[in-house]
Amino acid sequence: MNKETINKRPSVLDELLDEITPLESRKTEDRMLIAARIADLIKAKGWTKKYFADEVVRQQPSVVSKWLSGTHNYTLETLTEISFALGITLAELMREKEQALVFKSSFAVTGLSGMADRRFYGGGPIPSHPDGPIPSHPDFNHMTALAVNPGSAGIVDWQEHLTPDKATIGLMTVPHHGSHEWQALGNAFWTGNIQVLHPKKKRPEDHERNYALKA
Amino acid sequence: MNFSLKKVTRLSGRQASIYAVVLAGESQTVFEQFMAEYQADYRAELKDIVGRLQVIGHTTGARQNFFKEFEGKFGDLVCALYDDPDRKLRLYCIRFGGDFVILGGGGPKDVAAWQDDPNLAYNAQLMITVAKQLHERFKEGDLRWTADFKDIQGDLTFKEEEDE
Repeated sequence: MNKETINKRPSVLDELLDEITPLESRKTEDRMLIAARIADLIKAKGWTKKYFADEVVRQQPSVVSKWLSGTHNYTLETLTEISFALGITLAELMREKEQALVFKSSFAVTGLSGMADRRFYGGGPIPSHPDGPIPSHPDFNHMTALAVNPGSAGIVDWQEHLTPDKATIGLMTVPHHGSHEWQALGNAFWTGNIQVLHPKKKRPEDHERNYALKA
Repeated sequence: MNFSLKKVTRLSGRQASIYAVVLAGESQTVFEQFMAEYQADYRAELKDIVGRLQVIGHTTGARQNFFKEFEGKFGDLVCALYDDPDRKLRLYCIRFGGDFVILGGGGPKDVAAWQDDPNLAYNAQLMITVAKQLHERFKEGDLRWTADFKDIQGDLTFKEEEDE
């Protein structure tokens, strides 16, 4: 018996995690996200948990603790009660909080052929144009890619090149970073929910931010 | 007490890192021993616990409301994962903000205070000791947080004679 056999046996943690069905997992996640959303809204109002319990919803603090614990199975009635207390609609309560997310990307375009199955160099969040979301199907021409004359001095923000589907226009090719053809077009900053990013005005302090900032 | 800390990779994610205590001479973490001990009788609760820990690591971070605080000594950050009255299993942890959690062990809670149950008292005391040694090592400057506060730089093996 040997190390190999022991190592091959899944741990109890692996077994337990593997037993969790996608639906169960989703339920747990949603319970915790709703709890987090309610806690954030209470905080945004400037209320303490105790004040919210005693003065706003007039419940025992232990009941509110349970609501915010991420374990509570909310009824529609409870959610309505909470949203009413917070002065928002149920739909607003359930809405995902917009993340203060900043994404920065530097990339190059040197040609108009081929398929760009990665949206842009280095991957990252999928941008959508204000006129509508950009589907992820690789055959979809998601960008109007403009060839940049290597000799030109133009440093252009790539957000200017984003348009909705134009099937007749070629796709952008993005060479490897180390390629001699590589030419930076500049940086673009995007903010908003990860699925619906909006161009963000560049600010000097954004230059070093190449990561998503926590809300 | 001699112990070390080990990252639980399947539970850790973008939002929080989850570590577990390994006692010297043991091959499993205290958390693994806890799961092994109660998996037969409390499987559903254990699944719920690991499911929540996974969401904490990957989606929400270790928010204060997901834990019951003040289970240890004043200011030592020892807490328990929230367990509602219908549930029995208690799991002791140390929570460092929303980014970092250390898991210990626990057990069924049928008493009002952990001091009344030998098993819970052992596990709570264990985490109090871990927290004390960890805080001391931070104070001495031997441990430092990484820039994202999700990992600790430095020696995570603790030996009693070194710290006393």
